[in-house]
Amino acid sequence: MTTFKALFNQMGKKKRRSIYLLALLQLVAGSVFALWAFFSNGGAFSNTDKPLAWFVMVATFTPFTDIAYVILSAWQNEKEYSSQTWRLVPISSSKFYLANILSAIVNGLYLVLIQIGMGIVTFLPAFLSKDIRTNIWQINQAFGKETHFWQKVSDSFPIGEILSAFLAFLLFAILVYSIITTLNLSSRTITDFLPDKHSKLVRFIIMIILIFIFIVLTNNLGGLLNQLRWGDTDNGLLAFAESNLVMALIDIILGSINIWLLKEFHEGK
Amino acid sequence: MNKLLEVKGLTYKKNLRTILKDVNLDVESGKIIALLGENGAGKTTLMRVIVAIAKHYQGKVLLNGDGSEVYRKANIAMTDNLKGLSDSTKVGEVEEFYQKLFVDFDSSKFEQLRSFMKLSNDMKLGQLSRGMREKLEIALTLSREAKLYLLDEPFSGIDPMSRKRIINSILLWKSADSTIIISDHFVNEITTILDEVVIVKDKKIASHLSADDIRAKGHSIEEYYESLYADEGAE
Repeated sequence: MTTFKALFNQMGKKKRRSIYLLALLQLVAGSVFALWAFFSNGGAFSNTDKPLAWFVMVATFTPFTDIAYVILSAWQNEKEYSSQTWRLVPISSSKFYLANILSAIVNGLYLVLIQIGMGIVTFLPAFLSKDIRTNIWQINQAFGKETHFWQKVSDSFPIGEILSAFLAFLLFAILVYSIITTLNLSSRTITDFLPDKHSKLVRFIIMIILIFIFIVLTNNLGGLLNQLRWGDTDNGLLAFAESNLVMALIDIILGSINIWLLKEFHEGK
Repeated sequence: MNKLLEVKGLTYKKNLRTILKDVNLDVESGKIIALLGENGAGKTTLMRVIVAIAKHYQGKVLLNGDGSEVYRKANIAMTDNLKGLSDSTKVGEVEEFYQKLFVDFDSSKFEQLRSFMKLSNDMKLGQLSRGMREKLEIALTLSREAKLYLLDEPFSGIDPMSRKRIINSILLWKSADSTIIISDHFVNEITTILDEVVIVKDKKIASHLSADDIRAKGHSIEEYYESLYADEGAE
């Protein structure tokens, strides 16, 4: 029997290729735009800000790259559920499902790390500007004079809320992948029980119906949860805990449906 | 001989069509079996059910008495078209993929098979011709130390010379107690290595005989196979 770790590593390895490609595309696109901004007169950057152009332009492409990654990785996830090559691996459906989703999320975090690294590198030319160096030095001086600096940082960014926000991000990522998988697997399963004729059109119609049902269910669930609030909605940590719990619950429900569909119905081709 | 595989009352439907109906099959260990039948007879589906890729069927499929999906996948090696891997994947990377994901994969055996099939580690999947791809699929499948091998039309794209060479050497690559089921159209070329013949017709197992019994009746395996369809042709 294959271990979860082995499958997770192989799935991660496959997804990592697209990460390097996307990061490279982001760097190239940002660099091209930065060069254009640097050499154009009266453009988006004043002469003093021009050393920041590379950093700003590469950073501007970050959300587009991240969205592209979510789309690509979701597509890869679905491809692996439907691939005989992957489904022949001797491992339970639950481990297969978890390895697929978690490998997509861990690689997403890896992409964020690469983007932070690119941010640091592209910021380096800014140190060539005397104005920027002076600004950084002044900020540093101001922090140096502050007696309770770390206390203030910790008050402004409480660790509990940061961890809750990170957890919310992870649960949301699982939710996005789970919804896509539920729609894909359930529509394919329903199509398998219908005649072969016009199967693509039939699947498209089923998908629309499922999306509609999903929206109605989400609205009703949202209304129900509003009635069951725990109380103090001004408390940031409590609000986070509440939304995280709801998201975790939906993740578990969708995950269970997906694992059941994988185990009982969905076939690799 | 031990009973390796038991298929009991298997019925499989898809898109409201019955593909297999009340299929019963017992296979002993150590045999080489041909699975014959027309296109669309259900040979591939039967293999996919046995290896637990096809789902939602009625009946039972037991390997060594165990019907669990994971056990079957762990002990059955089936040829795969490798469509789950991108065309830019190199043969060496495919080997690594198998080595990491199948604990029974024997890398040294694969190296021997790879050189026998004249495949290089640097070749990309997208560069391989149909025949070379099939050679790789056979090499990967036979490199697993499985109890049951399912070769689904493995030689259809391979040139006649290589086909003969591979068929004649299959006995070298299997252990004495493992079983191979080959579905193929090239009946004549595989007859020399066969122990048993299973013929699928009209969604059922129409015949399951030992190759010696067929020969004892004075038929070649091809003649016997064709005779099963002869009545239909006469109608």
